[in-house]
Amino acid sequence: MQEAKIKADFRVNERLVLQKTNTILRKVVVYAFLAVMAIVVLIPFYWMLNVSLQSHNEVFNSLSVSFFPKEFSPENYVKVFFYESRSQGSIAFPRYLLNTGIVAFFSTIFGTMFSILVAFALSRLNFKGREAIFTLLLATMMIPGEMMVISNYITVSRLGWVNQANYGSYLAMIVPFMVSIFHIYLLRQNFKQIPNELYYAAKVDGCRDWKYLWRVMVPMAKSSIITITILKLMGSWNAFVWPDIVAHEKYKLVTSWLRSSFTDAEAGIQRVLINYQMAATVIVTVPLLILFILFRKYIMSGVSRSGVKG
Amino acid sequence: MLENKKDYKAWLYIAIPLILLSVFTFYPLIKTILISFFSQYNSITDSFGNFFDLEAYKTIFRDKYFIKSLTNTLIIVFVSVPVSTVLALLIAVGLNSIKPLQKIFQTIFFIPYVTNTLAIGMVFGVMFSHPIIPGIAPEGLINTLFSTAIDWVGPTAVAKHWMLVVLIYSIWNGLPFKILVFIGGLQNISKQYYDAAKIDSATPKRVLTKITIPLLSPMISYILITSFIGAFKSYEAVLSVAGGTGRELHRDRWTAVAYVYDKIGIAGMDSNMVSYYSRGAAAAVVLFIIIMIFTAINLYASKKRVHY
Amino acid sequence: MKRFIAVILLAVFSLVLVACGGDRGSDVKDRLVDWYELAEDADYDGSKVTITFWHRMGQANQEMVQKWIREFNEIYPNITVIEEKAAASYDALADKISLAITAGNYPDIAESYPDHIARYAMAEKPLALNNFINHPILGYTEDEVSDFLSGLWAEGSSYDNAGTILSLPFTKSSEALFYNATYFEEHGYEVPTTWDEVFAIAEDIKEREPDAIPVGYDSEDNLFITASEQWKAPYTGYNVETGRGEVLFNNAESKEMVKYFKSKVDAGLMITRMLNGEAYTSDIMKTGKDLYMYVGSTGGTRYAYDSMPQQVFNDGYRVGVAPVPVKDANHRKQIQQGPNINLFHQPGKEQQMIAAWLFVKFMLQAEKTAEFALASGYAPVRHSAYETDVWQDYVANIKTTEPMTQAQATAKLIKEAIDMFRNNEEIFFTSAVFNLSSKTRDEVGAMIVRILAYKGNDLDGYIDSQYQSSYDYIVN
Repeated sequence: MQEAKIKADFRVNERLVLQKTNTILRKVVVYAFLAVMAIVVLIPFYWMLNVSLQSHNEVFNSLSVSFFPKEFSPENYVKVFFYESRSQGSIAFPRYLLNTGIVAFFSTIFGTMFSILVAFALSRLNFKGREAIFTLLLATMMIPGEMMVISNYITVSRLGWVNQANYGSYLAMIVPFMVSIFHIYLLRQNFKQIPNELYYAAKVDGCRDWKYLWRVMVPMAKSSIITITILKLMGSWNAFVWPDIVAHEKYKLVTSWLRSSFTDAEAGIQRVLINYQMAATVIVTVPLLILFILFRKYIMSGVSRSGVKG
Repeated sequence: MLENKKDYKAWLYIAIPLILLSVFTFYPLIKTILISFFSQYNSITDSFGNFFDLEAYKTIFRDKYFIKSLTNTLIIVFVSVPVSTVLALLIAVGLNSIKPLQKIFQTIFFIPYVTNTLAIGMVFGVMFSHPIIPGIAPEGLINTLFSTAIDWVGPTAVAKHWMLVVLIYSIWNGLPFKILVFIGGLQNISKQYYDAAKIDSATPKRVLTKITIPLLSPMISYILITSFIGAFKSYEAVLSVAGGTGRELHRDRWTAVAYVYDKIGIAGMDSNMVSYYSRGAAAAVVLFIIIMIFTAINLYASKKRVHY
Repeated sequence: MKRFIAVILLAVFSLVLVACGGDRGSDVKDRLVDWYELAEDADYDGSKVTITFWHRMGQANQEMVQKWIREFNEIYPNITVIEEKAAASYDALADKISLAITAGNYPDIAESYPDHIARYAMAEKPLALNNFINHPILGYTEDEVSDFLSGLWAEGSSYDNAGTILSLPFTKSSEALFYNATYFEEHGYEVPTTWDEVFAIAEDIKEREPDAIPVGYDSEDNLFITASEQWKAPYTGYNVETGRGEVLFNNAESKEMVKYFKSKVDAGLMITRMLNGEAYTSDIMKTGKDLYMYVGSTGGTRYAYDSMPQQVFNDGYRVGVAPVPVKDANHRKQIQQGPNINLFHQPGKEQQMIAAWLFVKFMLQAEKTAEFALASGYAPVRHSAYETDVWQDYVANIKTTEPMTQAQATAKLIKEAIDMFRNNEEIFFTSAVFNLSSKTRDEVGAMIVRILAYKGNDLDGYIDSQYQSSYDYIVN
């Protein structure tokens, strides 16, 4: 009897040990896989940093690429920050930063406001034509934006906002794309998840729609709202094609600076100054990265929430 | 009575955004569709001309560069989206199963999402660079690592090379969003299912295929639909990786959107007296229809296979 | 019922679409735009007008224009001139103006290239200047007209067969052969005039220095177009019968021309900007070794010395300039470049157009064109510019003997380049202008790069297929 028990125990132990090794092995495989993927993801960033810190000599005169800057040149960043590209009318980065900040700020405030209002109407209010509008909006999500560029340019031009050396440029960059259908969709999905009962209860208490929206729904959908705010900010930060064609030189955005500068001659090099370009890319990328790290929780939960209910 | 008042109030909520959308989205869209049917539209005077017909459409289907641009686009769609999705799924599952370092890995994988498409495309271009005349400039990172001397994305690059780089870039770029959505979905799966599986001592593979994936299917469907739509509209990615320093992309490398952009930018008529702008508009409409059909198929398929 | 109506509507719609066909007409006219008529006694009446001038000049040149505006206002205080840098490149400028035409807020004066004017002409916006030029009060005398360099003036009427003048030359340049004069003297080389002479020297250099690539050419599209003209290979042209421009480069002579240069590239004797990783070939020459001759724009003369290593300059590096090499010394041709200036038709606003015309004439005065040339490196567009004080002073101050500083060497070279330009005005040519001409130019530039970089075994087959596919692309 005792023998059988010892044997059974032993076999259970054996199985446990096997399971444990299996688990450890699995964990190792998973970690290895993740590590490899992480490295793959990070390579471009490493290369960006690497090239950005190399001197002109290293980049243009050597016969092979350096994996690590041999002539460490952090002064590149200072030069790039104050770089005045001759072809861009000697406007330096701080000015582009200001422009982008203004555009991002107003786009986000108004865009988010409108998204909230429309999402509310589409999710909570019952009115004639609601389904039609919603379907219409969904359909437009599938349209390539390029189709609308020329038409919008003419409209904006007739409004007198194109290439203006004043706030007209800002208007041209902010107004046409203030309303983002994708954000409305995201928010609507989230609003829909808020139980109907809450609404009816509020109604019984005599609470008006407007109050309900701002007192109840918005706080409950906080993470999605933060998400779309950040998405809008990112959108303004990364926008290129449209701002580049409508804004006056002095009012262009950071992306134009990135794309079109650094092709001047400097110190006898009439090539694209890739080390400066990479430094510029780093400068342009870092703010968003910081934003992401600070608000990571909200962004991640907001984005992942969007996929839950169809 | 109450109904009317309610309706009126609701419309107030959506009034301003709706007006903005009408002016800047609906109006251009309708106008573009109309233009595609007026094959002598004059883009400089903004006049429709006298020919209301299908010539613009006939022309683009005879244009082998339109067909090529569609092919390029389809390759990007059908390779980068599935590969990116599968990879993202594996990474998300992996991430979900480890406790330490999870936050760090998550942050790393999300970084590409916050970066500027154009900027990183340029970095890829630099990584895959190659001097046409040897000795003028060093080989880029990839050529050095693999001891090759291939022109990946330069002016003499062949299709299989630059397309490979474009695909790698698209997959790389698409990972973060997908990983995030999958992680969110995974965390929502009740532990009960996994516990039950453990009791039945199911292998990890079975757990993955019989439990995780089916329960994740709404997310997968959502990801596929949005990613496919995005992939059909590829342009900036290809431009920044394989476009060289100019703003122009060589015609062998066009995507459908690149074709539209090219044609819209040419004033005047081609040798058959069809306006280039009309051809661009027709191409845009065709693309739009393809996306719609595709999305409809996707929605139908998800109705059948998605479990809620 | 509703569905039935919908079906009927759809059927009608489709029928209309499919049925409408027939003659699609043509976009050819005798006169590209109508010639604006001026009354015999038309003149600026002193009223207040505002005119706008859109350009893409860099800061230095822009400041010169602003100075000119102040001088102009001393004569015409009531004409307000607003100059604006509207874009960073000429193509972007043309795009902006095209869109402005559609939106209705286009400028009065603009810098332009002939292709751009062909575009604006689709809306009949460029102002025909014939009646302005011939006007008894406002126009130019015959002497004044011939004061302009003839090849440059002719470009202004190359838009149609009726001699409509739609632009005037503004700042012009051409190409030139820049060579390392010190090195040439050291080795007893004579300045080459033909391509064969160029490559004979190059081969000699290559024997001495096997790693050198002695000859550079920066602009591949210019190479193609200029060499086509020299080899007498058709490139583009005007079909007098149909009145339309045509694309003609898909022919055997052109391919022979390309194969000539391909053989030189393959032998390591020649390099172009794109093959040089998009770096200008002048950069290589400035290192003092490896490259000893390049063909570049005269507008970029200063870059022969600009930003070069001081030591190399101090060691005696000096540059000489000569006309672009040719195939046949009896058939010398080289391209002219640089923007023109054009005016726009402002319906119902004659005083505005007259004011714009007056300002353009002001800018094209001999002293002004000389001033601009000396500051920018482009060439003056009028013969009498060389007799103005501005020019004479500049010439008097040029140091021709050693020792000299980099700035002095540059000044000397600029003068030599401009002299070369003005002494060779009869060899300039321009290509036909029509709506496909810039597309053609871009495409042949890209095509020749691909051919020059080709490393496979079937060169002839590759060239044939490249030519065919390029042609198909442009024409469709």
